[in-house]
Amino acid sequence: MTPTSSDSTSTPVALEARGLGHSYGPREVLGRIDFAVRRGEFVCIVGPSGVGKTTLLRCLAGLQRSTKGELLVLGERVTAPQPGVAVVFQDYSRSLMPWSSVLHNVTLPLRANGVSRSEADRRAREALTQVGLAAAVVHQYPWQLSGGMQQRVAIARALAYNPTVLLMDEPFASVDAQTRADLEDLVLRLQHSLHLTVLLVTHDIDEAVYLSDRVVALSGSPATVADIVDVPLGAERDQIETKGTHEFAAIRAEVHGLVRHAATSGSGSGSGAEA
Amino acid sequence: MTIQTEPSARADEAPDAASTPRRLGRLSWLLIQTGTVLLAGGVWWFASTLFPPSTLPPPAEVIARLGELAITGGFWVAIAITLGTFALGLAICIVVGIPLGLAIGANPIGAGSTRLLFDFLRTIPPIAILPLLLLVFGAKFEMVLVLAVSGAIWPILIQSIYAARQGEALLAEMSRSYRIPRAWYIRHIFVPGAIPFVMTGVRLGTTICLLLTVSGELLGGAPGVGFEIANAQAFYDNTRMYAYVLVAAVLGLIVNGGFWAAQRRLLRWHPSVRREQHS
Repeated sequence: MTPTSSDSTSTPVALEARGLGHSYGPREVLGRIDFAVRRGEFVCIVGPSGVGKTTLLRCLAGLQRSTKGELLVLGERVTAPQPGVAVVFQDYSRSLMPWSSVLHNVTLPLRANGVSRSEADRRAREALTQVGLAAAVVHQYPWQLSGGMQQRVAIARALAYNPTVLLMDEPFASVDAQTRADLEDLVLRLQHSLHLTVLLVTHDIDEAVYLSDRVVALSGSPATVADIVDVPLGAERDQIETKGTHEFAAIRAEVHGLVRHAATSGSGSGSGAEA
Repeated sequence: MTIQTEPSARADEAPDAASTPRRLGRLSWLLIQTGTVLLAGGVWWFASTLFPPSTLPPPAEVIARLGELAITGGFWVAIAITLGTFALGLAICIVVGIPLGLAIGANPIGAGSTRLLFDFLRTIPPIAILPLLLLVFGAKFEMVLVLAVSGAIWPILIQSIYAARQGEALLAEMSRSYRIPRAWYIRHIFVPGAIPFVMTGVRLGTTICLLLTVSGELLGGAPGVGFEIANAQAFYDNTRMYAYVLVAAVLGLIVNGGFWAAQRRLLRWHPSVRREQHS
């Protein structure tokens, strides 16, 4: 396998890991990770819990320095959080400020980065509309909203930031199944309409296959890329139709095999690797 | 006087206001509480029949005396001095204690290095330094102020040190990933997140500040409600003394009510205050 497969060579690379490795003290979590995400691609990183997915995402976000190899985001070596990158965290209730209104939550990153109040307001309201939140919500507190709506606020915060790359860490793991499907479709729609590059980390194989153009399966301890699976399911996806196709089932089975292999071949428990 | 200043995370408990069972309305509770006060008054009245009237005058007599005092200027001057000293003392504790505590707590070296010193200083009973303060400032308002601050600052300072470490780690991550500058982070994320924990210290500090203000006036002979209590006692005018003791108690109630009102305003968003309204 060639991890940095680049068949459509015309599209520039948005994000690239080259021989990325990470150790917490003597414990090696990430072995040698190589992959690249092209502009406008939707890539999911899937792997069993504890494999180091969150560590990888934190490195990509610039929140953590990797101990080996290098990361390139939009052509720059990542040493700190990059301007064109927005992160959506799993735990929406903890990543939103409960003391601030929805609007203030979305505008804060903009205002703090020098965007004028009126411009920040405009962009925030636009982003909140894009994620399907009614105008009435803007002056409410996050905790007055349902979990799904709170995660929509977190997504709106990322969109208003005007990112080229959207990093998502298990963004739908804390909501119920129906909300999850709605949010998946929302992110797919936004990715198309805004030409976003999305890298999403999940332990859910169905979700990974449904959303992705390519799936990066992590395996082993320390984790390495088991394989990168293309998902040629087209741009238009539907929760029922797409998941009912033979292609979907075949890809799902393939990724499942890779991840299960990872779970059985991994030595010892990888607990705590995602701390 | 034992002053409990152990760090505690009990900002999410609102013993008085919020945790009263909601099944009964506000008015019903007010009636029940008034009834309890009247009952206690009855016990006082009964007790007063067992003692000579000069030792424990009946409530009616004390309240009548309170009414007489309330039309004198000196009564209100004493209250104004006590409340003014208390308010200034508390303001100093808040303005100094909270920023200092948060700054120390935000830095592991700061928290570790000051720990022994602060634990030592806060165990000194404030009243023990009263003679020193009297010597330096005399029986004046400044002496009372320093006494009050020297006791009330500890819970506020120590709870603020603790509060600095209680912030939501994920919000700090979020802030970093969105490249929010430090000043914005402190103003919009760090401080608001620390406030619920700081408020626990402020609540303790408020009570201590008022108690020490009255105690300082009483023991040190500086003007105020405390002095009026001591003065009445010196003249064996127990009815007048009890009238001022009642005043001190009412001041405590008012100050406490003020604290809860401020907390409700400041922590509108906090689970202890907000009413969940999922849509």
